[in-house]
Amino acid sequence: MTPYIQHDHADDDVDRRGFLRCMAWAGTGMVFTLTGCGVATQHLGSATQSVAKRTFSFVQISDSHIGFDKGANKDVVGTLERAVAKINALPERPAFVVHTGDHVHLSTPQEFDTVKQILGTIKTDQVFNVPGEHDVFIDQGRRYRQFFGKGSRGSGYYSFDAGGVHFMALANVQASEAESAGVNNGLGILGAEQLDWIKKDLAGVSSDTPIVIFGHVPLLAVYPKWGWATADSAVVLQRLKRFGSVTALNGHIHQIISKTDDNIVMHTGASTAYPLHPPGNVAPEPLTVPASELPSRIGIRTVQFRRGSSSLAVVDSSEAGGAILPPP
Amino acid sequence: MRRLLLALSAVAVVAVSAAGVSGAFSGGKATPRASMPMPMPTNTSAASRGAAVRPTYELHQAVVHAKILNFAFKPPHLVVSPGTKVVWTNEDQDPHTVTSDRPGFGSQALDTGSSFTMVAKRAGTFTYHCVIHPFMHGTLVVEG
Repeated sequence: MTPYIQHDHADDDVDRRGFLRCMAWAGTGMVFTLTGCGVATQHLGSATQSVAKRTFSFVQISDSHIGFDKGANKDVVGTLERAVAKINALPERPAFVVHTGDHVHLSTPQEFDTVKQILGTIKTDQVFNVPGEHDVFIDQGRRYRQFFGKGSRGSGYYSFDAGGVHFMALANVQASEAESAGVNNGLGILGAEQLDWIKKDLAGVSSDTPIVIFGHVPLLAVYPKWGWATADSAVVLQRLKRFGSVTALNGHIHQIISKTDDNIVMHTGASTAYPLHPPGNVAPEPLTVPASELPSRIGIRTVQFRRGSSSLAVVDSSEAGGAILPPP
Repeated sequence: MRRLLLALSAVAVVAVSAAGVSGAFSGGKATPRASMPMPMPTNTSAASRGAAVRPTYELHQAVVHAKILNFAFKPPHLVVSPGTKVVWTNEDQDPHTVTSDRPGFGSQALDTGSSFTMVAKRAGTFTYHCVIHPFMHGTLVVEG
């Protein structure tokens, strides 16, 4: 037993908050398994055996940017299709797949149609989506919602339960149309309507239910100068404090960065298309790497839960097959 | 303030008519201009930012070329004379827009190599930003 374990509700040597504190950083291409507070990491090759008793898994993909055709990746359709092939080849079929935004690059109907068709070839029960700023800037997300908004509220948010986990899919690239005159200097924004819904949605969820939040822009600040933060997330973070396990999975920054704030752990995901510059280096501009290196800087993420133990394993694997490398 | 509003409305008229007659909104995709897209920065903060940047004077020119590079408008604070045609060209891999902070003028999403052209007709100070990346700010001064 380690000092990190404070509340062991499940009598499994696991305190959710303690566990998440231990997971301050999620490595790339590594699997985390839980042994008290000790987080054992193993390389991807042996992952199958180490998490043999998992009961539930899903996949996150992000920032496919269909329509982009510049030097950083001249074949974004091909890289998304290879990401889908990778999902379809997983040893365990994921319960669902979530796309955390920037499905398209310039919001044309053709781009939306292409990405929807490709996502339709994933072997899973359901594909969930949240909007990125490239999906909504042209018309406040009306076209995005025509393609991906079914069943969602407002600007495209909703919640659902699966495997004992409460999932919240947030739309944090625009406030509602009525609120759009708000001021945020380029940060992500949820807006008053969505914040109100979040309060109501969480009110009925017990504190020991693990929470997983999807969004495009990071919920915790990564680099506000480039808009890599959500302006009005403080209210949400406050509402989440009573929960033992809160994990936020985001896209937007095309690289894997993890951050912990009290009981909340955030993992930004890689793109299926191309990396961006690291925070503060030049601009949040697509980063062109040699063509042979691109497959090791893009990829998919698998998240596995073991029911009742709050064990959560985040595995990022590149198109090339190993870890997803950080931007050079 | 009244003078600024008048100037802005004049520019809007010029921009719209230019687009209709001579296709001055060059480049970009065949997509409608966003009416009120991402939340905009405050006029005050944009103006104060613009004031901190050294102005680039391009007075009495027929055409002035500006660019968008590394997520910045270059030059960030441009001073031109009335009647000058200002052409912004996006040299980034990511799309950008040139959109006035207050209602006035706005480009479509400019893909790499695409340009937005506007004739600066009336005197005034116009702060603008990119609606896709609203932390990008620029200032255009038309010095009469």
